[in-house]
Amino acid sequence: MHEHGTSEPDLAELAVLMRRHAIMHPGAQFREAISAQDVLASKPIASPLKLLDCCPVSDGGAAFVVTRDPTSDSRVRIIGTGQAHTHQHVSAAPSLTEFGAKASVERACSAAGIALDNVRYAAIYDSFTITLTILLEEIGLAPRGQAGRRAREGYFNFDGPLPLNTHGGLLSYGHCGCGGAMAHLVETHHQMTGRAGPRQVKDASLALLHGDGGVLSSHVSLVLEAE
Amino acid sequence: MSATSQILDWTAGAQGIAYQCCSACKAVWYFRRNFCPHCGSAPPEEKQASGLGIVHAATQVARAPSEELRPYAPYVILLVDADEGFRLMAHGDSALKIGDRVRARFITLAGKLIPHFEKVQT
Repeated sequence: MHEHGTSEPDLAELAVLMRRHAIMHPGAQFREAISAQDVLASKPIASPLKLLDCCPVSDGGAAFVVTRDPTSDSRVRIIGTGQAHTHQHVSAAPSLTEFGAKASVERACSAAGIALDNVRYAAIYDSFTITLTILLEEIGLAPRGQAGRRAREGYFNFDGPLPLNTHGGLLSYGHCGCGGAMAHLVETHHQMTGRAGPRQVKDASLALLHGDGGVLSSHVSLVLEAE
Repeated sequence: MSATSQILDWTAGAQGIAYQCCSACKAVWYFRRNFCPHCGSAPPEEKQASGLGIVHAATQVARAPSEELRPYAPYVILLVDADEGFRLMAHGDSALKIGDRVRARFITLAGKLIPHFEKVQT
């Protein structure tokens, strides 16, 4: 935030975006509309994060089956994976703007033989609004300091140029531990197979998923292609 | 860290901050390792830090993560770039800002001796 001019209202826009999407998902934990003002007015947790900048602790789960042989006409293929692990504790990270996310995504895109620009749907880990901001900007899905502005302008809306976490993400769909980010994958699969109902995006033919674990320390990326 | 070490370190109950460095590649780091996390050489050298540094990041924690810390909230947690070239996380005074020159003193918090950074008056 210090280096790229991100403000607290910018962070709030990502919480508002996730809530906007969660409202359309019957299984989301939080489905009541919020404004950036609500986020800014929520109680302080660890500055600059307020309550609504943080994901909830949720009960829930997710599961999926990966098969070699097709089980239906709706098929999704993993065409690239990548990982990067640069540190464990945040004090040992290369910097507070480079955590390994970009390296991980570049490996996945390279393995898939695609450019980041080709991606039509994004599922990015969003434990806190700052996590999502850092990841979007480090990966290159938003210019530095611009993730909040892009969210405010509708760029990441389900009907925008690059739909992001259309189930509402960890921030509003909910975060039940490992199953939390698995919900990103479940939603991506729904989108890629045309089963996302009122949240259905126009084109989810090529999707990028990115998750991180630890303290922004264990980065894993997937590129999925609809067949 | 051996009990006979001359290096004072708060994690062993002494008023000081220890760090490690690699005699082969000159890397410097904070968390205790048995080998260099950069080049793998062993054993690392242990050194005494001056306790001086610059604030790299700061947050005020309003919601403490445990019952024992709750009475102290709100409190400030910093990332400090030590003069010796390593970065550490520690408590600090509430008015500290990014870029402030700081020095460690030692306090007892929730029964434990810990470093607590304060601004160096210039």
